[in-house]
Amino acid sequence: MSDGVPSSQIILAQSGITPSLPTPSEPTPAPAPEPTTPASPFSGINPSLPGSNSPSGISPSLPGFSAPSASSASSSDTKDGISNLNITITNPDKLPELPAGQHELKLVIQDGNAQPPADTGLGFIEIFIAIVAALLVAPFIQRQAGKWSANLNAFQFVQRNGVAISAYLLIFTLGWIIFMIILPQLYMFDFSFRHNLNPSEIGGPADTYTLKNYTYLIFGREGDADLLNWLHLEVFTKTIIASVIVTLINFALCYPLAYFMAQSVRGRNQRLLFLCLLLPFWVNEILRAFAFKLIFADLGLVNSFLIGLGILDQPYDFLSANVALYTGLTYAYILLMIFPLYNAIESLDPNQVEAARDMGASWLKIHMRIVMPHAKPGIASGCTMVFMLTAGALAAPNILGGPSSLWFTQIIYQWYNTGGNWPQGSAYAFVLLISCIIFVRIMMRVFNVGLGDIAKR
Amino acid sequence: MSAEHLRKWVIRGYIALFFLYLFGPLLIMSASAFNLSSYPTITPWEGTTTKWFGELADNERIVSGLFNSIWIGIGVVALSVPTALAGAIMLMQVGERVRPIYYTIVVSPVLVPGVIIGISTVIFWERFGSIVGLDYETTNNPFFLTIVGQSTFISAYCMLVFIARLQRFDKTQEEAALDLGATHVQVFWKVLIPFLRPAILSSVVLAFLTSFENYNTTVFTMVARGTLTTELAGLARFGVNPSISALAVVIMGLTLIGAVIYEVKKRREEAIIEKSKKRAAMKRMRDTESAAEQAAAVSA
Repeated sequence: MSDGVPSSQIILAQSGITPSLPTPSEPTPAPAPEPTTPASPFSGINPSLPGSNSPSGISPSLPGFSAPSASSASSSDTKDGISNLNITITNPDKLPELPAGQHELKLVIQDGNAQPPADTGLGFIEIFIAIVAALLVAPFIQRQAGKWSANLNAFQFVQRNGVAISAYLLIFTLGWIIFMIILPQLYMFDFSFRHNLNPSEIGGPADTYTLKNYTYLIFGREGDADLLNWLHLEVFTKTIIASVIVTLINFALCYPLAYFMAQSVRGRNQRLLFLCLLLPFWVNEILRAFAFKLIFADLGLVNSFLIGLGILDQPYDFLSANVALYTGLTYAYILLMIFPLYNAIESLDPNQVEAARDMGASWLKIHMRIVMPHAKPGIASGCTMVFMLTAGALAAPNILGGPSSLWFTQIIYQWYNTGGNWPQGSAYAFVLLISCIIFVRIMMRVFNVGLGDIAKR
Repeated sequence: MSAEHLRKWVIRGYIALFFLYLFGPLLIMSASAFNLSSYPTITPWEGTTTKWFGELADNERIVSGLFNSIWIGIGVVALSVPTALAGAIMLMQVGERVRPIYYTIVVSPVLVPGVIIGISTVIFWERFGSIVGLDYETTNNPFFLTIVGQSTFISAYCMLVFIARLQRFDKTQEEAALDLGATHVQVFWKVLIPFLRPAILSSVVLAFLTSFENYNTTVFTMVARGTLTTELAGLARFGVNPSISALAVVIMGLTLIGAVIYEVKKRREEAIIEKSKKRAAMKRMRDTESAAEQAAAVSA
């Protein structure tokens, strides 16, 4: 960017002492490339990393020397007087003419407070969440502090695993939990309350919090003729209800087979049956959906068959009628229903069923009173997994859905892709997430099982 | 007897229908790859051809998507398998009180819809990157985002595999090695890893295949680029060319070979475990129960 600039002015600002030279009026917030090194982001210095090495040739004699980052023009912490130094390159255009290759170095000592306020990018909500989290955790920590210090858990942990292994365990687990599981969800939550801004406006005065992304789902755009946003609300309810129906159909289809497999099939046959059940699910989800498109398309198998028999005169549009979609969705996650059911029923002692039958219990009663109560964890796990995956499905609705029908995930996708409104998409995604959490909680309550039972498969 | 006979046939019929439902669509799709018709269908059969396979190899997007998928799969394996192992070992070590919370957190990605994982990954790295000052190119690199996003939940899958095996780990082996003067790192590499090797192999396969066929997360994190699966979805949605059926045949052939090997190996291993479990249970029974109870058990 400033490769060919003949001269640059470097100002070293030291806080806590009165300025002896005037500061430049417009310190550019651009990254400060060291004049003598090529200004590639990867070579030499990377000014955007906090604590990165300072440019060679100037720094070694200066303590606590730090270059300002691209996003935060000044990260100066004025608490400890001299410890912080900032390099700023003034606009090269306004510099006095110097012979090529010559650089003017000025040392400006000034009060750190005179720096523009730091834009750390931390919004109100991050700080708010941190405070709430701290308040929630504090009593727990206080209660546990005595125990912890007595046991010295952390110390024991290191002692048990050795330093290297402890570091590996901690870095990977904490990195996973913090940077991949928790923070992304929090950021999405935060983002869903923001306006849809251009990148340049982020952090500016327009970057405030709003509820409009959520109210849009319910009420639609302000000033619309309709009171409610029927289109999106309808899609949302349709998605949830259809997912429940798909789950119930899956259960009805799988229960007899799972019972039969668990109670009557043994040995070699069982292994073969298992393999046959598993094989279709190693095939890509997209291809499984596409297979149903072939069957239900206008020129597909079902239509040709029905026309051939003379039942239909012209092809029936199964795709628009969502027949293909529901069949495909039922097919897509059937494996996740059958295996939990099988595992749960398998542990039932056949003698119990035998005994009930001997005592004269009807076929229905045996299943309602003995098999199903025993298989409760399996039913909960299967139903939850199928529901979640169906409600969150994107591939099958994309491929099998009719042109006019939408799945809720497709609306989310549209906000991201063609709609170009990420905060809106985040709000919708968050609504989906909450719905799924509510569903899981209901299942856990109704079937009285733990989360571990549900996630296990 | 006749009622019993009828019941048997009803069950057999049901199973036959069930498997027709499972395999029928896939067989129809495979067959359509060989039909001369320019639209993927099996009715009417216009003649047998293999030209759609040739057309497939000429599709540049498909080929580049395939390479992207492979690179991402390797990255996901490299990130998620060590993460899953660390997560599983941690679960064995955290205190009783923390364990349920910890378990809930690490298992939650399994239950969160993939769409949401994709969105949150993209948003987080874009905003977090600008706050910390990582440069835009890194944090918005589609490969980086896809690998991280997919690893979020694939790590959880793999962790469940590791937990299942770690539960059978004999801690005394570790203690013995330490007593004999091995360092912790040596114990890790010479005792724990060899014990976990089958689980590591399973999770490598699981991670790669899950990554390879993931759509919901990838479609968000790849931004404008594509993997094989996302390209495939585009073709499946708009394309009316049988070359997608040809691709289906290729992918199905490869995955089925892999799946058969994987499943057979897994079943064999599980059978061995079952056997050793039974043996251990028998031994425990012999050890703990009194002779009289044992005699009663035998006679019963």
